[in-house]
Amino acid sequence: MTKQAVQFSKKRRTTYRFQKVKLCKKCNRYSVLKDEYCPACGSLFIGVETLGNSLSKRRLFTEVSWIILFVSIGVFFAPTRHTLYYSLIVGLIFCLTYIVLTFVFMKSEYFHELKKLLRVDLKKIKTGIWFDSDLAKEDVKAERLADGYDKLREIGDFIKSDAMKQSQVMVLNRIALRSDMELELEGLIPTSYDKHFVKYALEVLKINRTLMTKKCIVYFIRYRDAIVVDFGIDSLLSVACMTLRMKLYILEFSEFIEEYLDYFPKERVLRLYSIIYSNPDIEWGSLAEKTKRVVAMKYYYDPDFKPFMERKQVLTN
Amino acid sequence: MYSIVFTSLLVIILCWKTHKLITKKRVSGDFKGIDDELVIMVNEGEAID
Ligand SMILES: [Zn+2]
Repeated sequence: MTKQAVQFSKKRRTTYRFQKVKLCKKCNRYSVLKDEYCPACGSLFIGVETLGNSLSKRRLFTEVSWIILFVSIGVFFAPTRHTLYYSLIVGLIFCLTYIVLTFVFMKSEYFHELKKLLRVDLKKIKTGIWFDSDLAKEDVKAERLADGYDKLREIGDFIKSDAMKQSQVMVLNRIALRSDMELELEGLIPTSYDKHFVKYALEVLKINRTLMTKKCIVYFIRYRDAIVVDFGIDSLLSVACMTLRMKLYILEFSEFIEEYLDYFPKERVLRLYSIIYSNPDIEWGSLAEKTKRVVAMKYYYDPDFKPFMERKQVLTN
Repeated sequence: MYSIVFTSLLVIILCWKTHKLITKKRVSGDFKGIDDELVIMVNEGEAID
């Protein structure tokens, strides 16, 4: 199947994920997508922060109205002129203190309202995300892969299920990936073996090695048997080669590297050899021995390894 | 007498309000907490795919 060439739009970044939640007041439906206007009715979405803010303001307004009413009643029923003036002054001081107090605690009040709103409307938020997910599926079905992935990516910030990750991976596997794309790997790692994910990961790693993180390597090691069956030994070999990216990874996955070291291309062996040689204080375990053995067997007369050999001789002398 | 009752009532209201605000502040948490809680909550129950 030919892959679709697409252009991804930039991912929307907010400090917190809940800032992406918004409501269409007309449809009474929440959404976490990028759209500014509701796709169903065309109304402007209102962000959950604005909603929390207006709720706390409305609450403050109601409270202030009640206390003003209370003070007014107190002043109205004052039996003497003297008590009336007294009640008026005390009432005014009370109102002012009340307002100042509320302003001092405005932030925590806002927190409280926001939290309450998200809790109370949780079911509605979930239904909204269902609707968003359906929109994404429609896009994918209609071959609008970039739009579909864009939506799934936004939903994926909230929904951490394997099914959601697989939906994204399936779309990505139908797209011609490029290095200028903002790709994600670690966030898409499922909790069990998924052939589609491995296919995507191997494709991504050809483009951007930096996406190969510790979690990804652990995933490949955990499901190595299934991966070899589905993608051949070369796939694991390429992952093993990529673990040489960082000293920390080499130490952490030394056994895995050792297993495939015999099949490493020369350039990778050279890299490993040079790292081990320039860090003699690090406890490399049996990996150092194995690397030296491989170099001695395969590259003893190779000019690229010569500087290390000479240094070794100097050291032993 | 009226002034004492009226003032006492206002002071009680003020004390009650302060207590409520302080309690709320103590349990309100931060944005990060709200964020994590929301993600946990939407992932609970029936899964969205
Ligand atoms: Zn709408």
